[in-house]
Amino acid sequence: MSPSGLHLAMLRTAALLVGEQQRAEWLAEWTSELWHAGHEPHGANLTAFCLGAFRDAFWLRSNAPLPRSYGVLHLDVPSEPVASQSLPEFGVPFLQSPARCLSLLSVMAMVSVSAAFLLPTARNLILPSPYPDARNLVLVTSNAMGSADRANGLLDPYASVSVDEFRFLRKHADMAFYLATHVQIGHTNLFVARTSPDLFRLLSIRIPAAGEHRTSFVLTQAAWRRYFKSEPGIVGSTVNVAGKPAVVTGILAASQWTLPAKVDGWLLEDDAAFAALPADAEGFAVGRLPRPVAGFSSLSLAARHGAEPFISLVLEFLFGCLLVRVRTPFSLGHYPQNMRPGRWLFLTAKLALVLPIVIFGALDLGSLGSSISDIALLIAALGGMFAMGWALADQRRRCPVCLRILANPVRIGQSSRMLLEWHGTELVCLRGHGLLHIPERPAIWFTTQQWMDLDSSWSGLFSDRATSHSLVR
Amino acid sequence: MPVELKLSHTAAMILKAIDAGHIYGFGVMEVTGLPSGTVYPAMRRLERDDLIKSRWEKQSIADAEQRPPRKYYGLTASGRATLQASEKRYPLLARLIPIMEEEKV
Repeated sequence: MSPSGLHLAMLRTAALLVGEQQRAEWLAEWTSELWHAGHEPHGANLTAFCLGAFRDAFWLRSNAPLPRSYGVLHLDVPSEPVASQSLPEFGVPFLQSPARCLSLLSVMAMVSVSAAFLLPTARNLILPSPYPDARNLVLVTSNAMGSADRANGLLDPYASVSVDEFRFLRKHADMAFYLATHVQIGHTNLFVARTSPDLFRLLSIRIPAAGEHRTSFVLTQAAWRRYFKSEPGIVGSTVNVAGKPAVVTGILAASQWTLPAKVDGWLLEDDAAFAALPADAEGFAVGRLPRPVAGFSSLSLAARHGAEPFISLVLEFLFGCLLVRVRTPFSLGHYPQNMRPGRWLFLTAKLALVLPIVIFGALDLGSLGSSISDIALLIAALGGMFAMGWALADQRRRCPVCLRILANPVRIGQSSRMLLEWHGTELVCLRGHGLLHIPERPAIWFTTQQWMDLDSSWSGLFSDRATSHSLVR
Repeated sequence: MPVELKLSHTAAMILKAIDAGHIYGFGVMEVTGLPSGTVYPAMRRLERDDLIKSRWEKQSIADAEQRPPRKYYGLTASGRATLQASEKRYPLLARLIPIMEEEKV
């Protein structure tokens, strides 16, 4: 039986299944084989022969060279030649390995914490208060204008206590007052705190007296370097501050001033000069307040350092975590053996690491200015939301056994046929631990993603880096 | 570390047929009795796994014999090693496939 036009047409039709790059050679081989089969002396069933071409073409189509992926099933996806049989790494997500994921999170947490120690404003918040009597000293704020809401230890309160209110407070307690204002010193405009004479006494900062009836002026180290060019003989000299002479009595290191308002210096005025301040000028009151005073809030200076300022950041973080529920449920899906401790430990470790990343990251970004800004709280809330969302999403896409990210997603079913079939995505654990089915649309009988364990009998289907390779028919 | 291959009986039979000198697809079909839809995909898998390699016959030879050129298959070194291992696993394999010395390339 000689090859007919019908047989050639069959081969050409089958060739359409073959990829374009292989089609010409494939057709040439089958055409040649058909010719030889047709000229066999004892004859051959050429139609059956040509039907086999469809299977061959379909196999080639199914096993066309794919981009190197990180998982192969021997039945379906072509693997590397035997001589170099090892799983290619190209395309593997960096965080696929749970150890690598935790390592990266640890590095990020360390960077975040280290940055907080490098930024002066954030560092002041973390380190203990420089004032020995910080536990007994309070920063008083007026309840007006919502200033009390900011008295949380993290954010600096607004200058809310007027000179008049301070005079009232001083009758009841040992108090000091300061207000920050711009003053002219020579040709330079400096941001200076005009303070009552006992501010540094309360803070236990020893400053030499300027002398009777003379105003004392204390510079910050930064201002001394910047405006006075690190002049060594500055202490003891007299400078003209806002038209009045003042004796420079000291230079204060930045770490010694952690109260609100980042100033260049302090003008310690005597009572007479202080009495001349306008009654409604607002500043900050610091001192020992034995009992609460109506209309004022007080915050211990010790509470502005250490762990306490972080409470508001952590609360914002937790609030952000709860906001995740708006977008996605907290449920991780249906797993037959839900009590795999490793899986929960991994989730806990991730959450434990993203907490410092977000909290200290928020602190770092919020303290880029002269004081911690409101943006730190916003970042903590948003960071909590994204971190929690990521931790849950990452957990959902991992194998519950080996904790590696699942791969080879396959779309299954059709959205129009959901009565008896499920429609969604199937992912596989490359180590053969199981399959994850994620419904495209939740149905009553398939509301959430479901994990299906594969027992060891399936292991032959999965390639392994160093195990045997089975060739199947 | 060399990877040990475990061939199915069909794959081993095809490998043995090629080793015996049946070096093109239809020849393998004839000697093994397997249909074309089994033989050709299996040969592609064997080639993919570097157990066999293929080459096209020279056009001049085919022209001289007034026929289209054929695609010939031969065993690679790893294919030969795998076949030896398979012959231990399938002792009757050698008896199933007659050797065609004259067609060996």
